[in-house]
Amino acid sequence: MAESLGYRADITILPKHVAVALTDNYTGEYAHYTCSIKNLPVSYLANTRMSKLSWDVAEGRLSLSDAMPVMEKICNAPRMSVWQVMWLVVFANASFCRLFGGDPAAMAIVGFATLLGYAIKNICLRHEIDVRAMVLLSSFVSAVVGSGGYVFGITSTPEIALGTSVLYLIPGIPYINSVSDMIDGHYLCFFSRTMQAVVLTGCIAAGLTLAFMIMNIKIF
Amino acid sequence: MESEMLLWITIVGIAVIGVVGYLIYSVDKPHSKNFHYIDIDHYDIYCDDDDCEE
Repeated sequence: MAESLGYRADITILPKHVAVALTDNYTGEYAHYTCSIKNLPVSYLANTRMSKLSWDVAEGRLSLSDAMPVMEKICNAPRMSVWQVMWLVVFANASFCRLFGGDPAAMAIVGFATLLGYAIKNICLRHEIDVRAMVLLSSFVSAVVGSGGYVFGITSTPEIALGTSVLYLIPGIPYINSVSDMIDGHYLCFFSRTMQAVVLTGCIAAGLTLAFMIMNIKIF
Repeated sequence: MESEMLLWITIVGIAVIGVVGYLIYSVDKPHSKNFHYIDIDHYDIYCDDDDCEE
């Protein structure tokens, strides 16, 4: 975008901030802008629209003044309903269980575990409870529900039900982004995102282990 | 195994009651997006012509 408008942009991505230095190719004028990164829910739709908007500006199909209201509209677009997301996550996690060889009873257990854990996660997010505590609690409750296969003996694949009951909590996006940052050479960001993902994975493991201990499950 | 069953039912029961209770509470409480406080002008209510200054 900057090149097409006659500027040179140097972007520095830090774990909590972004710094943009813009230089005019003709006059040599220079401007520097730093802002903090907001914690927003992931929206692939907004990402796709922003990407399209940037290409429209870069290829001259849209002027900068026309692009601003479109950007505003993208930022203020209504988010997907929490209930809709919850049911999609439930079905996705139950499908994961099937993918790993779980039977219908195991899928039902995983579906219920995900429903309960995800509801707790949403409640915690709404009350701005610490993310690590939220993941620990959701993981524990989901793992306890997932252990139902062992406790009641209603499925022939209880280990798959237990293993997949906490899959929805895995921080996949920070892991993917950290690899992307590493490839691009943003090592500070790579390290920050990796640590963030590792801590959350540790919280999942702690919740799972706690459930194993309380429910007296010895599978190792 | 019976103690594990009891424990499972207790933990899952508490979680289910907590989530359902929270949902009922959040639907019931009047701080939804459709709720608006009514601005009451206390001056207008408590003052009459005798004891209020113009």
